Amino acid sequence: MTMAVSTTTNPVAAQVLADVRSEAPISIASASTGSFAPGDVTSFSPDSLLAYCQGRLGDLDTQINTAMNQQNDGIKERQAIQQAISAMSQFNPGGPQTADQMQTCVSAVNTALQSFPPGDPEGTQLQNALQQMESDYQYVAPGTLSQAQQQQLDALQADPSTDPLFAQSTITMLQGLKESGQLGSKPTSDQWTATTSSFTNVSSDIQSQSEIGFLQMQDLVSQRQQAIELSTGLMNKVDQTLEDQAKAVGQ
Amino acid sequence: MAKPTTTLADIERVLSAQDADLQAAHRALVARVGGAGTISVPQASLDRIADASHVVSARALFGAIRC
Repeated sequence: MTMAVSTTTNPVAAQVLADVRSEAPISIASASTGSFAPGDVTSFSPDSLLAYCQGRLGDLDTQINTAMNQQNDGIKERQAIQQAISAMSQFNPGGPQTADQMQTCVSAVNTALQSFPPGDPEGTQLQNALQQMESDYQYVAPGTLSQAQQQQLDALQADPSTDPLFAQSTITMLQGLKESGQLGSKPTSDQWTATTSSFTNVSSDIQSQSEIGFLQMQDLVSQRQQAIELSTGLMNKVDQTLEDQAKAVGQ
Repeated sequence: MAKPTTTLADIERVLSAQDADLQAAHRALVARVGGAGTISVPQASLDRIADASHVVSARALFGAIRC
């Protein structure tokens, strides 16, 4: 975002800007006044006055920048969730019916989660929705077996002699599960609709937060406008005063 | 709640216009008094500018807490 006018190279103005940012008393008060008090008049160069105005706008600019970044983050997060929902919706209306299909959905959500910073509330909400989906459909990702299955596989591999035919077929089955994952409970259409809705809700929540944030940002920009108008009004007024004085001298 | 019809690009344009206004006023002032010239500014005017910024900060903070 373009923010405020460029910093001046005038050393006095730079000092004013530094003073304003550090909340220290402004050091270029006229020698006659020394420090500020109601009714004081202070001498400024144009650059110093500009620097003062810029410095005072600093807090506003910081807040507007923060709000702007939050808006952009919200857009990215919503896009990421929409991509995940799009990947999931290819299995509509009945939802994924194989472990491979469920893996596609899980991977899509995990990709979306990468767009959220650690500790983000909506990221946590999305993570919870993912865990709920895995739990509802008893999905086990490739590369893992349940504890009981793993124990059975270990036992059969250690001693397949009792019933070699059964052992071999079971080992093959368990290794297949381990390679491609498991989908213990296939979703029905209604269940899958509810699942996808839980992800849509996260996106809606982010959008609601963004709308509130946007209104606050508009408020900040509006207030900045007031500060700018005061600053430009002051400069123009001084400018006009000088012109009036020149005219008076000429008369 | 009514959805905002303004976009982020609109906000950026407003901010740029605000900055341009400030720069224009500054240039006009420099043209009058020169870069090394000085002008007398009432402290009350400076206070009003400071107040405008601080009021906004407080309002924004209040808004953030309320939400």
